[in-house]
Amino acid sequence: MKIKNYQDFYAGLMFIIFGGLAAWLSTSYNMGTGARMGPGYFPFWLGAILAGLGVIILIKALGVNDGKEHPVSLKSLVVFIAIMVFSLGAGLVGASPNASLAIGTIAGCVLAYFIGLQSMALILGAVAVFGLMLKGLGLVVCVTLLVIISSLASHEMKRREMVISVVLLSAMAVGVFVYGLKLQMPTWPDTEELGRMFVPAVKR
Amino acid sequence: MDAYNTLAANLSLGFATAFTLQNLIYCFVGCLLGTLIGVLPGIGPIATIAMLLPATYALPPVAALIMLAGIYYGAQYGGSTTAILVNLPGESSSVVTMLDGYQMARKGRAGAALSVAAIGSFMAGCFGTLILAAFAAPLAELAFKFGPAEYFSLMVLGLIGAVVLASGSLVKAIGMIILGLLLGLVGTDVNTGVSRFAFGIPELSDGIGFISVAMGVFGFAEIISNVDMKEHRETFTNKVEGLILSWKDFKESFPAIVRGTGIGSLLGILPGGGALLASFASYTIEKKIGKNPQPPFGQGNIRGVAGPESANNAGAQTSFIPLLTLGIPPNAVMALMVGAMTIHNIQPGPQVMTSNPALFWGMIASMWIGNLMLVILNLPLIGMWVQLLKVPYRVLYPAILMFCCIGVFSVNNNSFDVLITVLFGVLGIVFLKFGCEAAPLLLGFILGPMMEENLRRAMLLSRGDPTVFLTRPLSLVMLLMALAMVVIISLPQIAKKREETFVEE
Repeated sequence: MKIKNYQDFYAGLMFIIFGGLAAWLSTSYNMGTGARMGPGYFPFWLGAILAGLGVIILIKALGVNDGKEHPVSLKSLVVFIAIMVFSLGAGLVGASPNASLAIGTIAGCVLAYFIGLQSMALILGAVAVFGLMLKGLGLVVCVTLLVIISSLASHEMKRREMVISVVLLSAMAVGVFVYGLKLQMPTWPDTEELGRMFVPAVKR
Repeated sequence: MDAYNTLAANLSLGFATAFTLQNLIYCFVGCLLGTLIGVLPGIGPIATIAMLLPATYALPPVAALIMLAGIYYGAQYGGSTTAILVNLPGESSSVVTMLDGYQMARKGRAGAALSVAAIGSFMAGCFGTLILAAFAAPLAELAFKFGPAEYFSLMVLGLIGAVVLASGSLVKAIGMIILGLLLGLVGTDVNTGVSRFAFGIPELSDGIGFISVAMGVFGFAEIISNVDMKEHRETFTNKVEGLILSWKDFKESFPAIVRGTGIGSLLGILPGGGALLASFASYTIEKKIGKNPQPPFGQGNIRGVAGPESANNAGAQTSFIPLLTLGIPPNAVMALMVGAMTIHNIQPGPQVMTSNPALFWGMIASMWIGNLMLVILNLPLIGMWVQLLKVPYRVLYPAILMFCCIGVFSVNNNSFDVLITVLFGVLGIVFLKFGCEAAPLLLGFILGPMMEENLRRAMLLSRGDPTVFLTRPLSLVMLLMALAMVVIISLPQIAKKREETFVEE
């Protein structure tokens, strides 16, 4: 069997996975009856329909190649599945779903970097680091990290521009969000909070 | 005469609300930001509205909605500037403007192109606002007759309409809607209190934040794909002259503006419509009308700028109609507006007009004021926007990322939301690679809980008889319309034509 349209093939596969997962998970909730629907009813049927659509898309994508190839890098699919399995699986098993989600996200970004999706890995990784560390490291350090890591994704990055960006943006962030909008976020590193982040949860 | 009097009374209430100093300021801020992101390629209104939503928590609801609306229609204005001067779509709806606008700029007529875009947008915006004011009340009246069965069918119609009128594969788009509906169901089920698809994560029992979905799928994915692209800009930014239109130009473009406004207003109301579709349709029509256009289309014909620019602004304006009267968002931006209203404890729908008239009419009046502000922002201040276009993307995107991150974090003040947004960023890239459009996903995501709720209620009232959707006439009509749309679009001849229309860029 040949694949005619790679884009559609993977899209179909994705819908089957998501739909199947949703329908399967829904069976653990009460289905109820038509008149009194339980929490499982609507998502089960949605999942089933989604998986069905996925099958249709997948079958249509098979066939003789008409010469018009749509090369989709297999890598992105691998990364995607790896991240989903990693974070969701770890979250299901782990005692602390949040911690496993964090590890899954960062690990996924590192993995993505090494298999050729550098810009995605750097940009999303920068965001993940920002989100995870903001309470501990404060706005100034986090904005600096965010700008530096994400700037590495651009091939045309110039060091001087990066330094100027770091200074301007962290000043702006503190000025607008901490002083202007009065959002609740630390400006400078907070050693107590940092300690809490790295000491195992047993202590709490 | 009576209807006219009520309309006048309503509008005066609206202007009284909109003309307070605070609301004028937020209207201005919205328009300014909208123009800014419209001018900057690589960031769209969806990501911007998602980014700024947290900042509006502290504002009174009227001011917040006025500002967010300003961002949306401001972006339509700003997008044309980039399209004309740099040949990049600042906004997806200005793709068409590039065709003739950029050619006009190359021939030294950038000033004329910019002014005709601004004038057309202004006239269309005014007209769109009037339509909104005139049709809102009767439509809301109709909506009060709706029961749960009708609402369910209406949502089916809206969602199907949204994908039929959009580009790309129909089956995939429907798949994206269903995926969105499923994502929308994550969290505690309101009827039974059961936590669904939460995997024991406490943050997920409140559901996935729509800000995370919108920002991940639209914002981050957009930035990543833009960074990968090589930058190439040929900018006509040195001097923009001749902003005053000649009489000949005006005479030529005026009919196009009128036609564009008409088409835009009509398509804006339809589900799935809005600015993008409107500008495409208008350009196609302008091309068909009139023999031997001088210069030909694609080589700098002024009508090719006037029509689409008017149409996209009119469409942006009238797409508020289904949102404000029925509570059903016709496109992804309006879906975000639903989220914005919910944050401020306003349930979008026909009752907004009666329970919150100052908000409703104030918003409408502010749109007219906003359109006026935009002309001022865009024509005399064009030099400022031109300077902005010289900032390279590599400097811009870290700044955009920073605003996104702080925005997401501040919603609940926790890092969990940021991580979820990262996951949706990954999904956004996957969708891009697999050729799945993300806009239907966002629509489904917003409508998911509403749809389930109405389905449950309808089935409970009918004692489990699913034919209730077919026996109630209004509901039947809407379902038949949805079915008809799918059938028509699947006909081989039409399917081919549809593909051609969207490829023609």
